[in-house]
Amino acid sequence: MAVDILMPPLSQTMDTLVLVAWLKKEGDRVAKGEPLFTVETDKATLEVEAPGEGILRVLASPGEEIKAGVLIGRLVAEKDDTTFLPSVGKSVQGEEQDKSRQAEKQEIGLGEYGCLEGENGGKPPAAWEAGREGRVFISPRARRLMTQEGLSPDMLRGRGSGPLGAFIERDVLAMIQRSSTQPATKLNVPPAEITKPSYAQQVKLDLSRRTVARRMLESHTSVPPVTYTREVDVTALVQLRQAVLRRLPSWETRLTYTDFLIFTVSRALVKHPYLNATFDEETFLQYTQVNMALAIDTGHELVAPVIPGAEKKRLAELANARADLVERARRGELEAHELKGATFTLTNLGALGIDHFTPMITPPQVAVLGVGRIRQIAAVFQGEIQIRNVMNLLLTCDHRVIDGAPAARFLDCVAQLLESPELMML
Amino acid sequence: MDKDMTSGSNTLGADRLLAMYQMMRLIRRFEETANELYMQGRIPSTLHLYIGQEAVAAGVSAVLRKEDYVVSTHRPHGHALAKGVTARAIMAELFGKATGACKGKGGSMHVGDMRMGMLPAIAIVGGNVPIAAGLALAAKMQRKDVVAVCYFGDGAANEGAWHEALNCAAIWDLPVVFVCENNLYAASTPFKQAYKVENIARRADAYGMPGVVVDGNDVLAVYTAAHEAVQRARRGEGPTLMECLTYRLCGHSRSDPRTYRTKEEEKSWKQKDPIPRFRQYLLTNCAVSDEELRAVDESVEEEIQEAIRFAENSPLPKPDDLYTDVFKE
Amino acid sequence: MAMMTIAEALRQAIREEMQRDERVFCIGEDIGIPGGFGGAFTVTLGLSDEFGHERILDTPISEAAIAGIALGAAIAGMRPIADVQYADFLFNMMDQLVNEAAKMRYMSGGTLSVPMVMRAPVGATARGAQHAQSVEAFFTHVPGLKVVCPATAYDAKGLLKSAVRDENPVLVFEHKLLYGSKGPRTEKGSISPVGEVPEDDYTVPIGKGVVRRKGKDVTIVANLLMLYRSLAAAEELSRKGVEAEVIDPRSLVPLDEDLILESVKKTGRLLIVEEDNLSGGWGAEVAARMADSGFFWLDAPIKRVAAPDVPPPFSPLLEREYVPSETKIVETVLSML
Repeated sequence: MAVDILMPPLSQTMDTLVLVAWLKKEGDRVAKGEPLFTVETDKATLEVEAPGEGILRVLASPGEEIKAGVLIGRLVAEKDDTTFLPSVGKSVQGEEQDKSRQAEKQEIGLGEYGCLEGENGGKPPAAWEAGREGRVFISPRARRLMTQEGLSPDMLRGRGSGPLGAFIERDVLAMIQRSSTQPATKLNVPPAEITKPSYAQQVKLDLSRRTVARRMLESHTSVPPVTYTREVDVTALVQLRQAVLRRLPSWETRLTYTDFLIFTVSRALVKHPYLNATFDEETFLQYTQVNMALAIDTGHELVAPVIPGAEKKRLAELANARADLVERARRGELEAHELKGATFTLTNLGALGIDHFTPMITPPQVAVLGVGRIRQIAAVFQGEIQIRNVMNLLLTCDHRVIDGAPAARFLDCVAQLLESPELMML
Repeated sequence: MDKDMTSGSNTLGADRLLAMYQMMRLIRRFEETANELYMQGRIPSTLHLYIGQEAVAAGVSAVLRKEDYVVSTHRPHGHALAKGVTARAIMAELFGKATGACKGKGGSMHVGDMRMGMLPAIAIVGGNVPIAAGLALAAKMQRKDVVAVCYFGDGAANEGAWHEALNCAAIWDLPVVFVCENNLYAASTPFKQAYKVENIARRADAYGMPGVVVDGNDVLAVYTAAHEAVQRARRGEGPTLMECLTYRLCGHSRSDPRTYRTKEEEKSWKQKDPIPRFRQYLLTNCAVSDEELRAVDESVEEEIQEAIRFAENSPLPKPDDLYTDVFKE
Repeated sequence: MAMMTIAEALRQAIREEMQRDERVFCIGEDIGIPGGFGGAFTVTLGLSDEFGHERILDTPISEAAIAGIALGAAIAGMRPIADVQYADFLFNMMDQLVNEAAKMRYMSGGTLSVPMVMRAPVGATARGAQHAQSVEAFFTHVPGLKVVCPATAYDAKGLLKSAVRDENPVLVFEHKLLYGSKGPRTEKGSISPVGEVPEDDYTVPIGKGVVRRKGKDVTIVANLLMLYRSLAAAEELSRKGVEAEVIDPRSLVPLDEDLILESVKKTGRLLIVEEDNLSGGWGAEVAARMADSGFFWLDAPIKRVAAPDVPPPFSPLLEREYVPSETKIVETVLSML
C-alpha cells in the first residue's frame, strides 16, 4: 500500500509553504516517524516526519513553494511501484481535492484560539483522547452553521478550539470570515504609455515577509486602533538596574530594560485582563495567563516569539527567556509553537533611538505596547529643575473592545510601577 | 340461627330490611359474575372479591347518606355498590371501558365515584386511612353534617399511617368511622401471626376512642354498631373503631389457591355465610315471603345482566385519553 | 411596596389567601403553638393569633397523616397548605404524595381534584445527612405533582398564591438559607434575599421561568440557593470576559422549556446547577430535554454542577465541598468555552 506525502498545513496564515529539503533520498527505505523533509512556514523551519513506511518517491523539489495539501511524494511498498505519477504540484484528485485541502489548511490553524489557560479549562479528559483516533469533533451548533453556509464538515481536520478539541461555532465563523477576506480584487492597470521608473533591485519577498505584510494589512484594515501615549520618569528604574547589574554575577544574563518592561507589563495585565485578551468579532476572551509576545528584529525579519506565563516568572527567569528567544530568533531556530498563543505584544524601539511611534496590533490580540528611547531631560521634579530619565509608553488598543479610560488606567498602572520600581516587590 | 341476629331490626321497616338483603345479594352476584367473566378472559388483570363479607358494606352503608364519604381498599366492589355506585359503572370499569366509573383509568382496585361520595379506592394498604381523616376534617371545618367511613382489612392496622390517622382523628374529634373488616388473613398471613392482641378494636383504647367488635357476618349487628358510631360522629363526639369479624369465602385475589387455610375452616365459615343467614332471618322474623325474596333475587339478576351488556357494548377509551385527567386545568 | 424576606413574603401570601378564601388553612407540626416558632423557619409565626388554631392546625409528629389529611380535605373542597419542617421528612409521607395525591384525579377518571399545597424546606445547612437534602427530583419524577421553588421574596408570595389557587397538588420547595428567618431561627450562612414585594394581590404563574441575568456565552439554569451562587459566578466570569445568562426556572414541573431553549439557541452552551445529588437530579431532565430539543444549537456538551453522589455530610468543611460552589461553577463554565 502506498502512502501519500502531502505538504502539511502547518501555517495558519499562508497558503503556500516552501519545501526546504528532503532528508531522505529518492528510493530510500523510510520508517514511519522518521524525519522526512523540512518546510519553511511563515515563521519557522519545521521538520516533518514520515506518515508511513515504504520506499520514497520524490515529487517535489527543494525550494519550491507548494500549497498545503498538495502531494509532494509518496511512500511505496516496492521500489518499482509506479501506481501513480501525477505531475508535481498537482493534487492527486484534481481541483476539488485541492479546494478541500486548502480549506483543511485553514481549519488547522483555528485551534490557536485555544481554551482559556489556567485551572484545567478545556483539557479533555484522558478517556476522551483514548481511542479518538483522528476523529474530528464538531459541535452540533457548528455543524448547523456549516450546513447553513454550505460548508462540508469533511473540510475539517485536526482539532478545533472548543471543549475536547471540538470545532465549535467560533471556528466556523472564523473560517467564514477568512474565506470572505480572500483577496478577489483586481488592480486597475495603469495606462501603458506611462514610462515605468527604473529600479535598482527587484526584491522577491520571502514567506516571512509576506506573512508580515499580510498581517500588517489585516491589522490595518480590520482593527480600529487608537494609540495612547504617556511619558514616564524612569530615573529610579535606571538607578535600580545599574545597582542590580553591579551586583549581578558575570554568568547571569544581563538584565535589560526590556526585561523590566516585560516584568511590569505582565503584572499590570493581571490587574487589567481586558488588555490580555483576544477578540474575534464575536468572542472577547480575557485570559488569566499572560503570554507575552516580544517583537524581535532579527536583522532581516520581524518575529514575535512568546514568553508564556510571563506574569508568574521572576525577573531573572524573564531575562533568560528573553535572551534565549532573541538568540534563537537571530539564528532562525524558533519553533512554530513558540510563535503562537500570544495574548499581548511588547515592542521596544528604544535601542534604535525612536521616541515615538504607533505600534500595530496583531489580531486577534487587542493591544500592543510600544516603548521608546530613554532620554535625559531637564524636568521639574519635586519643585526643582533636575536632570531626569524619561521614556514614552505607546499603547495601541483595538477600540472595538477597549475604550480610552481602561487603556489609560492600564498605562497608569505600568507607569507607576516603572516610576516607583520598589512597588514591583509587592 | 335467629338468636344470632342482633335486635334493632325492629327499628327498621321491612322495605329497608329487604333493601339490605338486596344489596348483599347484588354484591354477591356481582362478584360471582365478575369471577366468571374473569375466568372466561373477558375481564383483564385480577380481582379482589368481596364474597363472604357483604354484610359489612351493606350494614354500614344502610346508615349512610349520599353526601357521606366512603374510602375503600383494593377490595372495593362491595363498598362501591353499597354506597350507590351502579353495577354497570363498576362492571364497565372492570372491563376497562370508557364508560366505567373511572373512565377505565382506575380499574378494579380503584373503583369509586365522587358523585356518590365514594372516593376512588386506595389500593395501598393503610394508605386510605389518613385520607378519610382528611375528609372528616374538611366536613368539620365546613360545619357540614357529613361523616367519613374508612374501610380497611386486618392487614392495614399494622401500617404506620393507620396509627397516625387514628390518633389525629381522635385528638380532633373528627366525624369518621374506621371500619376494620377482619377476615383473619392479610393476603395469606393469619391474623394471629400478625397480632399479639386478640382483637384490633382494643387498639382504639390507645387513641382514646371507642372500639367495638362486631359479628361482621350479621348485617343487623353491623348496622346497629355502625348506626351508633355514625351518630356519635354526627354529634361531633369523634371517631369510632369498629372491628367486623368476617371471612373471605374466596381467595385473596384470582391467583390465590388458599392453601394457607384449611378446608374445615372454610366450611365452618361457609355455615356462617351472611346472605342465607339474613334470608332465613327475614323469612322467620319479619314476615317476608319467599316469593318476595325470589323477586329480589331476580331483579338483582337482571341488574347484573344489564351491567354486563352495558359493559360489553361500551366503547373502549381512545389512546389519547391516556393523557387527560392528570392535572385539572 | 414593602421590603420583605422570603419568610415574610410566604407569611404574607398565606395571610392574604386565608383572608381571601375561607377554605384555605395550614396544617403541620409546630406551626401555631402559642410561644412556638411558627413552623421550623417562622413562616407561620403569628398567624394562629390572627386566624385561630382551627385554621392554623398543629399536628402531632405524624407526617403521613399530615399529607393524607391535607389530601382528604382537599378532595372535600378545602385548600390545605401543609408543611413539613424539613424536606427530608417528605419521605415519611411518600405514599400519600406519590401513590395517593398525585394519582387520585387520574384514578377517578377526572371526577375529583386535589388542590393541596405541600411546603418543604431544602438545602444543606450544617445539619448532616437527614436535614439537608434537596429532594426536588423525587417529585419532579411523579406525574400529577407540580413542583415550584421560589428564590426571591417576590416569587415566594406570587408562587405560593398560585399554588394555593391551583387545582392540583403543588410542592413548594423553599431554601433554608434564603428564608431570612429572624430570631433564634436565623440560619448561619444565610443570604436572605430581601426584596420588594407588592402589597396587592398578584400571582406568579406556575411553569414560567425568568432570566435573572442576560448573557451571550453560556446559559446557566439554577434554582434556589444555587441561583445566587450562579449569579455570583456570572459576575466572576464577566471579569474574565465571559457573559453568562442565568435562568431561574422557578417551576420544575411544569418546566419552562421554551425559555431555556431560547437561551440555549443564543448561547450554544448549557450548564445546570442544582444542590441535589448529581445522579437523576432535576438537572438531568433539563439536560436530556435540551439535548433533545436544543441539540443542533449546542456548541459544547451540556454540563451539570451538583452535589456529588454522597449523603450530605455534617462537618462544615465537608459541607462546603458538598454544596456546589461559585468556584466550581466558574471552572465548569470555563471548561465549556
